[in-house]
Amino acid sequence: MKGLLDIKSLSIGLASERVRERPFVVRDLNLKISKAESVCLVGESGCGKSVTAISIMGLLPKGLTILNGQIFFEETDLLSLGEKELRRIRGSEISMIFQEPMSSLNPVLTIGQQLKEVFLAHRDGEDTFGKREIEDRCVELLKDVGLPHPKEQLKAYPHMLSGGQRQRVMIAMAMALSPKLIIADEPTTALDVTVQLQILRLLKRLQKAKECSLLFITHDLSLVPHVGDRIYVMYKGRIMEEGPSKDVVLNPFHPYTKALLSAIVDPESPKAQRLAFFKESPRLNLNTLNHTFEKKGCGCGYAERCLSVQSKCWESEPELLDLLDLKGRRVRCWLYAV
Amino acid sequence: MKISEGLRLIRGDWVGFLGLCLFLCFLGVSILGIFLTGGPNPTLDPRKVRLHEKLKPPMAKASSETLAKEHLPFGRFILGTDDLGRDVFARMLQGAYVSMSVGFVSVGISVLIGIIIGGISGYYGDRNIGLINLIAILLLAVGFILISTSQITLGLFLFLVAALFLIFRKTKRLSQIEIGFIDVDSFIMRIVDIMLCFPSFFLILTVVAIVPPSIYNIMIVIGLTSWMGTARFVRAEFLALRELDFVKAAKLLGLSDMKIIFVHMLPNAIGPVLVSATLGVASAILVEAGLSFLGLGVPPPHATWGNILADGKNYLFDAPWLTFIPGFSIMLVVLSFNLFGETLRDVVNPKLNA
Repeated sequence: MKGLLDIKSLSIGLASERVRERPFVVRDLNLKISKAESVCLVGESGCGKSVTAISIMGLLPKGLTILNGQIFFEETDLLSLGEKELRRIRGSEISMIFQEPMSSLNPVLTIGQQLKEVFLAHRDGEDTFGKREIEDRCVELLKDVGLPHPKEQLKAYPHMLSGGQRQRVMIAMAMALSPKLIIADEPTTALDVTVQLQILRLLKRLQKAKECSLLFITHDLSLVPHVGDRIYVMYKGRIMEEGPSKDVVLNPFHPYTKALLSAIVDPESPKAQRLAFFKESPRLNLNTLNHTFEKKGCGCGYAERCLSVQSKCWESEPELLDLLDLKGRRVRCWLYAV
Repeated sequence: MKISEGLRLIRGDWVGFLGLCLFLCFLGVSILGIFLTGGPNPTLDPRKVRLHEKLKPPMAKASSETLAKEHLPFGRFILGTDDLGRDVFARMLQGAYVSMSVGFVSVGISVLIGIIIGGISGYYGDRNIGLINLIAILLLAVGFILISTSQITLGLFLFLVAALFLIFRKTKRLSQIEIGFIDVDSFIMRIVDIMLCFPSFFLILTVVAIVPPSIYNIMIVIGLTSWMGTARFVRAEFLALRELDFVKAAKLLGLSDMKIIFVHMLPNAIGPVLVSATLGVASAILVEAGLSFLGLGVPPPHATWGNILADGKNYLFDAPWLTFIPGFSIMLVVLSFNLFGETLRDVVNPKLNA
């Protein structure tokens, strides 16, 4: 299985010398996406999901730097490329869909103008389009994402569309040049539940049709079975568990994955039980937090909130262990260490 | 946005529409003025001195000997005559073109400079200054000074060197060197602060005293000394805009920096700039009038509203129309442009006219 995107031991830290002592934002992350595969990256806010995505695009904010690691995209290391080469890849090879459809479209340009931009920006390639052709392609794209009256919508301004429609436009822009990889950074968080499912299905359908890979970032594990072939669970910048998404959701190993799954609202189970994983973590107080920060690098990051914590967990951190009997599943927990 | 739609919106706001109409009237008059008062044998001669007709009030009948020699509309001096018997109407027509063009060209220059400098400052603000860029800027500045002091070959040579520096900065090791203690934004904004320290009118006076007085020099000087406000506006807007998702999205789609600045960010920032530009037109007309009033503006015998006003001040009680007519015209142009500018700001904002 040849990987399309291969992130190798990526570490991202704060740029300033003075705060080097603080923990990494992302630490020693390995992630692999093969062709036409969809992969979910799941974790709570601040665990480093979005930073990972942004670092693939080479647009880390000023305060963050990549400390080591490589990001291979079709044999080329994205981190070694210059701004010009990166710009060529962005949009045409890798594209991204944002969380907030309300703010990610330019309010003073029409949908059509913004869609055309994508074609015009990457005109230097072998397939150059004429003006008419670009317009036809735009209409085609809007039809693909299921916008009604695509021709008229080209002249609409973003504020005339609803949130779901805007997200469809964003997807159309991301799909415009048939990229090989689409990164969707919580694309459904700002939408209501019925629209969420429509957008997810749309993404999935387009991904299947165009045979591109998808990196789907979310904090909502309930979405994962709809989207991902494989799943990575992230906590404090570390991969905690990985595996085929259906297996992980049905049969989670890591205590953190279990906790996340228990947070999904299930009307059948009593409320107290649902929240037990988070509420009753007895060690979650400032002392233990300081304790782990002091001894950075040793000990499992999740130990202070873990329900099945052992003394070993405070001393050293487990590797991401292969589970021999289950193919493709790996987990970072002492519970499963042999 | 279609033009017809824009017109409909402007018509909806009668104050702005009035401003536009008034402004178009003045524009028409100033263009008409070029044809009526220009050429070797003009229909209305603003230079013709008739000492026996001096200080005639508006609508005064011309004497029969004047009428025998030349043609006047209705046989009257519509706006009276000045102390040399020159027709004020003809002079106002001639001056309209100067005042309007000074207003627009100088504001055009200042807005252009302001947008570029403010845009750079806002968009690239948090980067460190590259040594190469700093050298290039210094070379350009020195070159500009040399050119303006008529050492043109040396100045152009420095321009060329600066351009070469900028073109080849990518390939050189030198471009890695950055000056760490100050970033682009602070550097540019401190220059703006320095420019703002000088009272602009006195700065203009100083420059005008050095360069030869002509309409074009006045335009350029006013433009070069009034871009700071625009630069600050644009910078402030860009600082807010560059954090927004659509700018990030544009970057992620692989658009170039120039495209992001001018296609995506500038239209979002243009509202306050337009308003300050319309105010700028008004103040540029006033500055030109002030310079002419002091005798440093457009050289006589060419009439401008400012020097008509200046000439008239000696006869404030004997011939008040000599000051009222140009003063009132300046006020009307300035007012119409401000009213129109205010409406324009709302019209170009697509969010407000859904």
